[in-house]
Amino acid sequence: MRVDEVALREFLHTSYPRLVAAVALVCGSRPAAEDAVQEALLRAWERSERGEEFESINAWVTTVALNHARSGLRRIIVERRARSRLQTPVIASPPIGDRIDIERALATLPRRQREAVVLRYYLQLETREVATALRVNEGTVKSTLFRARAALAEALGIHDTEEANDRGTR
Amino acid sequence: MALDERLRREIERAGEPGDPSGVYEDLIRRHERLRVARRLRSGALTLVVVAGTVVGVVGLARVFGGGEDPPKPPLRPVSPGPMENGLVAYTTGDAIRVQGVDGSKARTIPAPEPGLAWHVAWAPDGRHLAVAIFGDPGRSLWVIRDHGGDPVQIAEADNVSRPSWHPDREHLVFSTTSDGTTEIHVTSSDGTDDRIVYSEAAPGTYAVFSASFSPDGSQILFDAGTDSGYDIFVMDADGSNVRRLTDTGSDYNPSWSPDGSQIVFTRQEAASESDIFVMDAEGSNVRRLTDDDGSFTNLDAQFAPDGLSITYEAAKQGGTGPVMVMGADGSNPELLVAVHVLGFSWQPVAPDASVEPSPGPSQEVGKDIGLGFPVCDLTSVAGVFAPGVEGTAWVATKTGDAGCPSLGDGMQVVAVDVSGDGTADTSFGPLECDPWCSAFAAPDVDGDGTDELLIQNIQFSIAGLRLYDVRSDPQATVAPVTVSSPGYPGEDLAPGAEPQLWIGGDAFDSETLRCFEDESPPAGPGRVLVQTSATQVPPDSPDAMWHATATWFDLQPDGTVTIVDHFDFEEPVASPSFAQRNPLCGARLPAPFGG
Repeated sequence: MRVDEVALREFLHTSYPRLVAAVALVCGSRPAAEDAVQEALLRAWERSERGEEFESINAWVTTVALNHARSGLRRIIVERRARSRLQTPVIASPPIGDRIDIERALATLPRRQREAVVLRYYLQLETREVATALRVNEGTVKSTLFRARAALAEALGIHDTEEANDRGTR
Repeated sequence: MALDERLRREIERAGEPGDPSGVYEDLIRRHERLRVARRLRSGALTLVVVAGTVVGVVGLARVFGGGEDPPKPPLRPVSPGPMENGLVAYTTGDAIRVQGVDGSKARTIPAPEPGLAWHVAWAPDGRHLAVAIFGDPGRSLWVIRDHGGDPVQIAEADNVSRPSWHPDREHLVFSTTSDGTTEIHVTSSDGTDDRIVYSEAAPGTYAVFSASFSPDGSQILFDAGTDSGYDIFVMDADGSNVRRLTDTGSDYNPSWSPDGSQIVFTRQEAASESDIFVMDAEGSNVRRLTDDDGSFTNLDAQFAPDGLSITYEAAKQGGTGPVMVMGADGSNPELLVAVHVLGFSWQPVAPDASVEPSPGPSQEVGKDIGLGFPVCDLTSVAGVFAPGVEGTAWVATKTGDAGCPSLGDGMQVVAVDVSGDGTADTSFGPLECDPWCSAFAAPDVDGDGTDELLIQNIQFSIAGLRLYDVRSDPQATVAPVTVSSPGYPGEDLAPGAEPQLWIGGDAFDSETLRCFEDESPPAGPGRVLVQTSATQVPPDSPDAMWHATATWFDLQPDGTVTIVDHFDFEEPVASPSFAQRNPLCGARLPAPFGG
């Protein structure tokens, strides 16, 4: 599969909105998420022009965007650029209700757990696909998700009985 | 509610989908900026080649005490070995494509410059391509890697022909026509050695339209305009002993069989009708191979590398057409490439490289700069890295077993010649390059009379700069600077971190770097201000303002840096910038790519 202008337009209309949201959930910064996804798209386009074929553009861009979003210093630069464009400081609207709970809960997770949770529950990837995106084996994804679920259940105040019931249904 | 379902719902509510409006246009803009950067890089390489040639010729003329070029050794004939058919390459004007004959492994190769990609020819090593680009108004000829990298321009003229490789892989033959003169050139594949072996006035259509080496490289086959039209000629590779092979006035586009015994060519029979013919190498025994109706313009016939079949373009009414393949006797024509092409070439592959090694990438040694292994994709910058000694710093890619890795792949290192003898005295690596690092500048950051080194990691829309401290005493060393204690918490820079400062937005070159040497800097002995992430607001407007971020470095004697300050600032884009008045304390800038 090649990345050209047609594929880019299609990606922007279909996958881009949710991928930006997913990366923002992982890195905690929407400007950094937008920058990371756009950078990944540029790279995919560039590689495609060099003759590279992609099995799945979504998977490749997801992996590269998450890698990009890991750079803390880059995030700061991107946010400054975003502020510069707006001429006024970016003041994020305070999240409310469940949103603040889940965002705070996600923020308490180690980076890898956060990535696995967002890919699994927001982008709804299969564990095999999460493993591919994070470049780890499937067993690692399962154990990472298990620990993340337990941590989130505790952070969100989900009772043990629910957790137990949930385990019982699996 | 099951935990999984609850997590899914809550995370779904938390996610704010991104807005794709305007992103496509922004990506196009950033992508175009990259294309410009690539063109500048390959153009700079051309300048180096041309300048190198001029300097070399002038120097040799002085040595020999005369104004004429020194005699050049004749090309050596090569015994051609049997070859097999590999991938096919073809051009469609807007693209150069490579694929297997079954359509597998299809990929697009970036053209070396804007224009219509037209003629294409695989090198005997099967890893390089010669490509003719038809621009407006001129046309050019390039040698590129089979992935599109390492472009070298070897010719530019009003018109250029399909190139043909000498079996030594080091030379090509092609014809050019400019200003009423038509010439056949034998040129080295790096563009440095150009010999005109045939030249004549070519009014109107009296031009040489094609030229190709015989399989052993000893002869050149070509067509040329005559009073009666076009005919086919052959001469020795040095341009002597020209013989005419046909006299119908309608024969052109000749090409040898791999064993040198046959010549396949196009004969124009009516206005736009042409067919493929073959003859013995001395011009006798002409046989027709195609006999299509008058709407077909069959042309550009070539033997496959194994000699068992012939390809040709089945154009219609003089336009473009698909590539057909038929037996060497004209039997069983069938479709090989369905799309309409402008140029076509079949990759030659040695049947058993272990028995008869081809001069392919496995033998490609790259450059030796004294690291103990060959390197390629060199970028360099001159600098004074030891007191009073003009040295060089390189960023280079280690050449692997399969030759030079694609740009962005492979291990990159920084190497520095502090003694001025042209070879590296110290190195550091592997560099963290994602995807590609290059030498950026050699400023004297601390003002001690010797230069430090800035390397950029090009990440497409922005580039990260890292500063390297170079020492010559007591021994030569080069190492990235690290942040001194207590760090710079405001920017997440902990002690020991290697600061990477980003330039980007609309500020992409060395002019984004500034030195406050003569201004009023913050306190500190070493003072370089790195302008980062400068953005024009609004973009591309004469009234735009730079919205920029700046960082002060203060280089300590122990090779660490103190971040003195970090702040945002604005200034009019149209005003003479400080960088233009005083670019980075007079830092040397890098040599063109490949230098």
